[in-house]
Amino acid sequence: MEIIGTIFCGLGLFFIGFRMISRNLRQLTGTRFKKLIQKATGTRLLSALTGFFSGVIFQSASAAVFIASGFHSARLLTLRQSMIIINWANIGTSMLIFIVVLNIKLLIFYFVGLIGMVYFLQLDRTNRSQMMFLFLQGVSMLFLGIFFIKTAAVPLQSLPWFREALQMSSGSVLLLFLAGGLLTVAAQAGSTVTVVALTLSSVGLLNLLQTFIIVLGTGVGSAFNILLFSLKMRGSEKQLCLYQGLFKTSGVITIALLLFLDYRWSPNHQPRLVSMLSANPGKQVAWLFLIMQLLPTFMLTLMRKPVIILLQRISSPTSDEKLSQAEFLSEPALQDPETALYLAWKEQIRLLRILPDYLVRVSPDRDYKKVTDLNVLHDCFEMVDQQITQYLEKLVKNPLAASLQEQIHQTQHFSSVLKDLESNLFEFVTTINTSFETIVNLPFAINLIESLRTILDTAIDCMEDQDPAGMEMLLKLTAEKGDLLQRIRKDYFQKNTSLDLGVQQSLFSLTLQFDRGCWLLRSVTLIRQKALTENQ
Amino acid sequence: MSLAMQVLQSDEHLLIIAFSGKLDALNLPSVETKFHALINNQNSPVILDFSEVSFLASLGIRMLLTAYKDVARQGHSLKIENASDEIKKVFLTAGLSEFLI
Repeated sequence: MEIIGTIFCGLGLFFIGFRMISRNLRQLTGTRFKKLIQKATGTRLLSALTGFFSGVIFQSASAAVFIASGFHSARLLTLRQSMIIINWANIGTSMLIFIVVLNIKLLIFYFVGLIGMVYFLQLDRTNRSQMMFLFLQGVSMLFLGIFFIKTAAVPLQSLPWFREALQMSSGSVLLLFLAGGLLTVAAQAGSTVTVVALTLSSVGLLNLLQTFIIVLGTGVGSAFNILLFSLKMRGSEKQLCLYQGLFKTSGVITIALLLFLDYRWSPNHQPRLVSMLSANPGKQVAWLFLIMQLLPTFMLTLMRKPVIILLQRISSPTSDEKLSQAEFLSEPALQDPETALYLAWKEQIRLLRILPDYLVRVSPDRDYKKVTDLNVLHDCFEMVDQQITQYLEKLVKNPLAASLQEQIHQTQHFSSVLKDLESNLFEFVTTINTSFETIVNLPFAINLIESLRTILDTAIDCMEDQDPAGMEMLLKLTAEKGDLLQRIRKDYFQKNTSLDLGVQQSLFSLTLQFDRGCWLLRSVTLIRQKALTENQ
Repeated sequence: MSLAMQVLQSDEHLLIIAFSGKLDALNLPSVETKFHALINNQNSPVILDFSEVSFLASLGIRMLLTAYKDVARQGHSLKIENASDEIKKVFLTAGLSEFLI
């Protein structure tokens, strides 16, 4: 019982230490790591290094997969750059196993003693130093756990019942494989399970083949884990999870095949491939784990193009993702300011085209048309608007002729009014959605909604055609109509005396927002009309 | 309620079309192509009888505006007659009464 208790305690210390390392390092390096990933868009080497160190630090490639997924879906990283990061994050996870293989018993003792002294002398005063020492404490607990397991497991192998149980299970490849997979699913990291298997192997509780099979099981467990997470994802985000699943699965299949052939053709059924790399069984396991990461890196890099096509086909970007990304803004075009300005204008028109969709949600047509969530539309608009603003800021920094500079200022002005128009429209729809009683079916509200949709549609047509006659018509549609609206509203209230005060208030707000919407549409028309006149 | 369109008069002097029902996203596709074909083949003023129209959505107004521009390009006018008060209010609110009524 004492032996089992000590092993159990060792496992406990190991997992507590692992959790402490992950949690505190995440807090210590989280923002920096994200910034580093963001900067790693330039070179392959930097991407590889970022991935590698994220794997070493977090001891799980999943962290890199999720962060890279976020950057990829925000188009800060390409699929190719993200794939490099993930490849090397997987390789980075194997470093822990190599460290464990080294005989560092005495080092662990001094390390634990040193951490204890830090607490005794109360050297962890600031938040950052507390996190740092908690991380170091995690490291010491992890290694102390491994030491406990190793020490307790030595006498275990001499017990007859344990030897019998081991002999029985040694024949069941599937059982060991499943154990590796299930433990990885539970621990959320294949490298940790490999370390535990390695520790048991180093004291003779598992033979080399059994350890190898468990290591293969960890690969499947990791793939299962990430694919389970990917079920909640869509579009670009999902692509990298699928890639990680493919990475792990291809690693397991290739290594399993190689091991099978190696054992099959070996005269004494001993692994020859890894024994060429090291005579030490522990190091052989570490090498096997590393090769299981290196081989898929090599294979998937060679097959990069078909893999990218496959991932994009399986999980194409969602309509929301497409909507939130600028379609026309091209960085190389910044070299030619006139083309860049034209592209910014095209992007603004694209934004304008989104606006009628805000009103579909509250229009009588809502049952016949696909309705996008208002907040999604709002977020997408803001993201594209921000991209246009940044693009124009970059453009204006170029040495430009005065006339072109003026055109850019007009485009910036157009952007700013367009943004106000969007905010107004968002408020207009929110007023309808959040009114005390439903006003969406009241004839007065329907009149405002359909009229605004009409004016918006007309504005889009005019801006696209750049038709002077159409613009003149649009100016008439958006002419001052405050008095007219008040008259129609009062007339409606007089004919519907049973209207609740809250409803009356909502309809009043709606009228003001409609009026402001018309005024803003008039402003964008005037800006565009002026730009067209000056360019002629 | 569906949407129906009937040509009441079609000669070199005048085209009169009567609509009945709702001009909304659901019903509009059933008449839109035919309506534009009628307008484009005609070189005369156009009158649209709205006495039986119960609802006009923005897509319907868009169709009317396109027709208005096509007819105006040929040098003629397009007017809507007998529209209900509610529909007249939509035209007023959208600033279109000057063009269509």
